[in-house]
Amino acid sequence: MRSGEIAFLGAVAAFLVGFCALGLFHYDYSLSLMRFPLLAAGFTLLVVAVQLVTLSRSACEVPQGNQRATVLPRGSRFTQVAGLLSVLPLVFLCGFPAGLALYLFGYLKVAGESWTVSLAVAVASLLLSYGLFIQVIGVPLPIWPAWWPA
Amino acid sequence: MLDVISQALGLFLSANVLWLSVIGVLIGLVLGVLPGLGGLTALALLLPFVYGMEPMAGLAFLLAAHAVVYTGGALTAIVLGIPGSAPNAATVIDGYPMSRNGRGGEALGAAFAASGLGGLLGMIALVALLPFLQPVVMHIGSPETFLFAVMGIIYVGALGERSMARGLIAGGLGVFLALFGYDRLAGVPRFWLGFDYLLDGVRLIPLVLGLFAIPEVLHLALGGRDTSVNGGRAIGFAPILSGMRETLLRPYLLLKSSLIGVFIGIVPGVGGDTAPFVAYASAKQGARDPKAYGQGVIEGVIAPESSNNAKEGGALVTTLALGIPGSAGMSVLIGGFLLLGLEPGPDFLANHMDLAVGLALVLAFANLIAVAFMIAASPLLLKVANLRPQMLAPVLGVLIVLGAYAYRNDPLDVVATFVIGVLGCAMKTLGYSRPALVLGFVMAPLIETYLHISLQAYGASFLLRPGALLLLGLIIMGLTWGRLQRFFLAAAARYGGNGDAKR
Repeated sequence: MRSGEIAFLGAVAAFLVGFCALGLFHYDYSLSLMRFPLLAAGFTLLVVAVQLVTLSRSACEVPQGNQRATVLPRGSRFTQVAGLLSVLPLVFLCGFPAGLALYLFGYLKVAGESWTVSLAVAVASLLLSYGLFIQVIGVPLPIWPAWWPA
Repeated sequence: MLDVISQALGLFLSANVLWLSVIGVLIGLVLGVLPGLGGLTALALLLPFVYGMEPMAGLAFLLAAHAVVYTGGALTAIVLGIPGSAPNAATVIDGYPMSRNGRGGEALGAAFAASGLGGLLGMIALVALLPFLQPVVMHIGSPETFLFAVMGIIYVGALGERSMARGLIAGGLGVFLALFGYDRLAGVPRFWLGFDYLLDGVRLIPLVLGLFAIPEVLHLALGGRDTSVNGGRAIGFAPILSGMRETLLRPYLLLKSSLIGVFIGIVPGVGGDTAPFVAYASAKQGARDPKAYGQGVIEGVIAPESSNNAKEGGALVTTLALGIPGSAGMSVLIGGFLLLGLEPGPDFLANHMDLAVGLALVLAFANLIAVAFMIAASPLLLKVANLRPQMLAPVLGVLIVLGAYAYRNDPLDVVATFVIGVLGCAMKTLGYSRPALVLGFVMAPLIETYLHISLQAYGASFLLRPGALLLLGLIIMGLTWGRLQRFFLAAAARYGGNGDAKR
């Protein structure tokens, strides 16, 4: 956890320093345009430095955030995360209504739900995305895949 | 004031506002009974859908959902021993033992009545305080507005979390993220990397969904919620009504706990999880038999539940009047204000008092109909609470995708939501304050604008104005609060007890 937090703080510092340097030296922004970003980044970097010093002094850090999940009924943690993220490629490859329905059906089947439940939830998702969002509310969800010629 | 109230009633009694409030209440209750999904997740999921709504309707929808989440959470806290959201944890202490002793219906009745009446008292406090604040905020200039905004971030970041540094880093990062895209003063795009999407800057909806909803969904997908719970016992109406009657027979406890909730809600950044525990401790301290607490006493349910709902009224006071969120949920609600073209703070109260009172009416209405819904639908909601988290996660994932897209009909917002979700997961795991980041993000344009105006008008000496000096003092107090607290605790330990100083 401690090394994870050090890496996180390092990433935050690199992000702030990187964008400030980009603004000053690459885009040549005026000082009046960069005044506030420099102020915000400077203050944050100062607290990041304080936190790094605190972490280096503390022998062992007790995790402050929520505890990690321990119950995994089926598949590894990686599979669960990948399954959850599969919604992104699916909506771009199959269009939003079909992609979301396919995602729900596939995810629930892999998670051990019955065919009936998985199909019912997938159909409900189609009704929600196509019926409610596209037809009733008028949100122009892309029906066709992103690679489909316009 | 009578004019304002009649205008507020006009706003509130429109069909659009009423039915959106009812829908908001239903969604809030369902999200409340789902363990792990608190008011913040509810607001994050609903925020995209208010874009384009009338201000009163959109805010009523968000506020109604947020206000009743804890009423829903009481159900699982009492029947299953699992708090629906963090502030319901105090209700478990006595509510769950009551349920195991066969008094679950009574505990539920007490919780519902206390929640409803607590919310009502919170609303009364809000309406009573707003007229006093209005003349005060009329005298607040740009230097004070700038410092109020800074104070809000520091208080939410420093006081709301266990580690001040983590809260401040999150707040600072939020401010910096808001600086992407066109600068409001110079009209020059900042840090856009030649990527058109970033010309508008980081967008609020993907940020909120990524920070709050994605980590919760991931937590559910990874089985982060106990799945071994059972449906609980059947709940009859007679014990629920009996519990409600018991609550009405304890008006002093109800009033005291609600006032504690209102007061803690007003203090920026402290609200949230703190109020119910303070109310519980206060009830226990004043009880004839404190040892009975924890074994299943009805007062142990009434105190936390009434303060839980009352604190939202208190939190709205500072949110509306000063633009400083009284609780973490209010940070996201401020985002809702901005989406609807409103800026909470001194100007808001001066120009939109009718809207502020209208929101107070929504708060009362939502709390009261939530009680009616809970009495009628508790058995059904218990079934929802028992859904397998692995089934719930993808359904919420679909709602996130739809919400992210519906905001601006831009598929890149969906991608941005998941990218920011990585940051949200890291922050949640490491204990960094996500509300502070959102608050920094929504306050940054305000801070930059008012800093610019203050410097133009007064130069650096704007910090020497009396109001600014007072606020600077409060900011320093917020920053040194941890040390002050330790000092006072140490002093109390040294001189406490029989009055002898320990050597």
